[in-house]
Amino acid sequence: MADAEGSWAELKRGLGIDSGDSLDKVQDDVLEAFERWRRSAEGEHHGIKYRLKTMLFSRQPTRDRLTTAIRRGIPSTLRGTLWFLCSGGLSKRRQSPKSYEDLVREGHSAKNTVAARTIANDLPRTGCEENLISPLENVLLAYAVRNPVIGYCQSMNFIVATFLLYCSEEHAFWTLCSVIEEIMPEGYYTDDLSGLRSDLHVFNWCIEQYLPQLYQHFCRNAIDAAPIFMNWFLCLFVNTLPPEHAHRALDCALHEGHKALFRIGLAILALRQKELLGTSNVVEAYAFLRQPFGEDLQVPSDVLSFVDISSKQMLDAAYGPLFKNFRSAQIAKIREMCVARVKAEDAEAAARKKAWADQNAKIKEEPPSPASPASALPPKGKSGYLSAGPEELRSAAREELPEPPRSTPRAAQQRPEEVQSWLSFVRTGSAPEMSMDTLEEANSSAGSPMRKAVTAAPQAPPVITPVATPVAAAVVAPASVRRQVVVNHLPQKVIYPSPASHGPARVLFANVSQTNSGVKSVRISAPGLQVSSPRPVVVRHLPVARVVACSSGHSGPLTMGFPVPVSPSSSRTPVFHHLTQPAGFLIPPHGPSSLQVLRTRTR
Amino acid sequence: MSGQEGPFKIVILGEGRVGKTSLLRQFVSRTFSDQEASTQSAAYLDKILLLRGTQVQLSLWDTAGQERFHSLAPIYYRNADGALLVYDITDLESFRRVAKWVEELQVMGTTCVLAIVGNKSDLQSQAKVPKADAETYARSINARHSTASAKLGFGVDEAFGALAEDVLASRARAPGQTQTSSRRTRGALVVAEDDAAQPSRQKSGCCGGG
Repeated sequence: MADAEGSWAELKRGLGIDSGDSLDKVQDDVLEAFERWRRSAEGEHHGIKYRLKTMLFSRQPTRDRLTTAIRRGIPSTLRGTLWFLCSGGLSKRRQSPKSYEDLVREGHSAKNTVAARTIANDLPRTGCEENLISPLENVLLAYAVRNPVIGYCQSMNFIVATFLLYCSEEHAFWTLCSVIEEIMPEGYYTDDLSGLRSDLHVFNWCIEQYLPQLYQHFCRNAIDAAPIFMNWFLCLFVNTLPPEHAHRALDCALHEGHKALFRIGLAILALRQKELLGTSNVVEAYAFLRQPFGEDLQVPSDVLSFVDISSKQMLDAAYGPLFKNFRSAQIAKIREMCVARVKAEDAEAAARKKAWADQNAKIKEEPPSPASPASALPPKGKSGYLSAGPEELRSAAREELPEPPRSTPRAAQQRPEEVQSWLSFVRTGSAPEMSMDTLEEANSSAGSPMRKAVTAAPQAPPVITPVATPVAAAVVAPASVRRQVVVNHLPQKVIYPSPASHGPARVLFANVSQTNSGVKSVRISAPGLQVSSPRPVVVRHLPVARVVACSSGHSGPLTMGFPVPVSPSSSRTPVFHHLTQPAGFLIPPHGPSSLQVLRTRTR
Repeated sequence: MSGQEGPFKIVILGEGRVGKTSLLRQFVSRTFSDQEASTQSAAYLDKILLLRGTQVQLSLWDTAGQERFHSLAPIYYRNADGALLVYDITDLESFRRVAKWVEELQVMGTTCVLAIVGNKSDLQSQAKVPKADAETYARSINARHSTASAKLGFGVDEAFGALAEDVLASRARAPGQTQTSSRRTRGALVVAEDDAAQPSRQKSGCCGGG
């Protein structure tokens, strides 16, 4: 800590201010020079950069030193300016054709936009102090004018309110610009939040990679924390962590970029892992995830109590040995795939909506409901739901189970497995043990002959829904990962009739045997299966070693299965395979069950 | 028909600032704040209701209202048993948004029971959404309609209670789904070829990691 103090003192001396002052008084040109220095690669010894470096940090004049100091916490008097500088807010200001004052003026004159209305709604519910509301409004309105594509996204209010605790109004604005346009990846605050959704996938991957125990626990108990994680990332932790923790997390994120958010997120989970492992359902887990380190968010940092884990502990965990191999390049690679995945999801949703609209267009020919008078009434009369009727009909209708419209019910259920299969190659693509020659081997053993066998088998037609196929193709994976796609491309997705909704899992049997070619096959049979064809349900020649889990009736996405160590001696990351639903299967009304088959290297 | 049911997942949807969080707060903890913070993440609350001698556990999910958060909505409403669609009776636009939600739920093939609630009934004098229209619409999608005031606490329990009853009724008719969609523990088959082929059963599920 003393070292950090020293660094800050040097920084101030270098900038020519007394130690008690804040950085606000520093001349702009000095700040610019500082910023240029910070942005440059470390250790170039010439020109103004060199002079500044020696000026700022007499010993060891590298950016690392600044990074280290920032990770140890920026003193609150310096924080505002350093946020502004480290985020790149200064260059935003320099590059902007319009001054902040102009933008504020324009923002206030454009009061009728959607953004302005939402901002007006949100100002009183941001929870900041009275005197900050007007600056908050200015900043948000100005940003809505500066970037009409994004306009205003809920959560920006919380971020700006936090900036305003330390920064001047104008600095907060440019810092916000930089956060949205530079630090956070594309698509974070846009209309479809695609960047955020990609990051949720990335973070899931991170959890699996670095906290496998917790990951498995989440999977086993169906704890889907995405709604919470989304808040973490969107608000940069400001309304999740106690103020001091949140501000220190911001220190790192603004200086180091958005990767720091993953580190912080993982650190939170790691520090709370014990408690989280003790939870058995979503509700309990949320209690820890919503406010991981303390209850009271409104108390200023210096009088904060109830916090059992200090911000130092959090930062130490984030940059500690647990996440040592947290490489930007790897994250970027994973993220690239996640982005593609999200795009594929969007395309699929759009297609589904279109199909739905087309279907509706046909049904619309029926006479419209008699009582739809006002223009206020939204377009309706959708097919699946019962159409309008008199009061008595309504109660009668209630007696019937409302038949929900399921335009593509299978698709809805298969989508999760796609995610899973996709994630499996994310997983294996990054698994260090999976070397190229093993991939080759996997390709040769699993690829051609097996694949033919499977596709040729009458019970196993290729993937049922059109949406299932493009997964592998849509994801533009880096070359090293793309090999994995081939391995996983076998159309092996089976949705078997559910044994029973509950009670002992008695129905499905899987016999795993070895053929003379050394490839495992799995035979799946079940007394309760309703098969319209007399043939026994056998899926042949799947290169399968282990049936992991059979889950039933899960209509929502099953994002991931959980990896089970193949054998105690093997550390290989397993690959999930999915079997295609054989033709002639009837899915019983109480829901299908999916059978995940885990593929391992054959002996 | 006694003992415990659920937990049923109820998701609360509606445009921004119609009072989703306030309704929930009023229902769960009988509190109201004029300055409820805007919601981004899931506010997740639990409540146990006593319905006809049955304890019904509801897990209530609050959602973000701003339109761009719709792309995240599937995270919320996957596996939902019921959806409470909230609009503000003084805001016509918020009522139109209800229809969009209904459509989205239909398109995505969710099977949840719907109920529509017009919030802010204490501002009846400023009402812009004709009640008859709202009721007609609700009937057309086979949903209940009611009005409520989160501020005064009128109609809140009724709205949630009616939805819970509908969910219960629909589940009673489809018992197979009760367990699978709302209770996440289900049988799993684990076959490990290297463990002497002893298909063992264990409690398991698969997460939706979003």
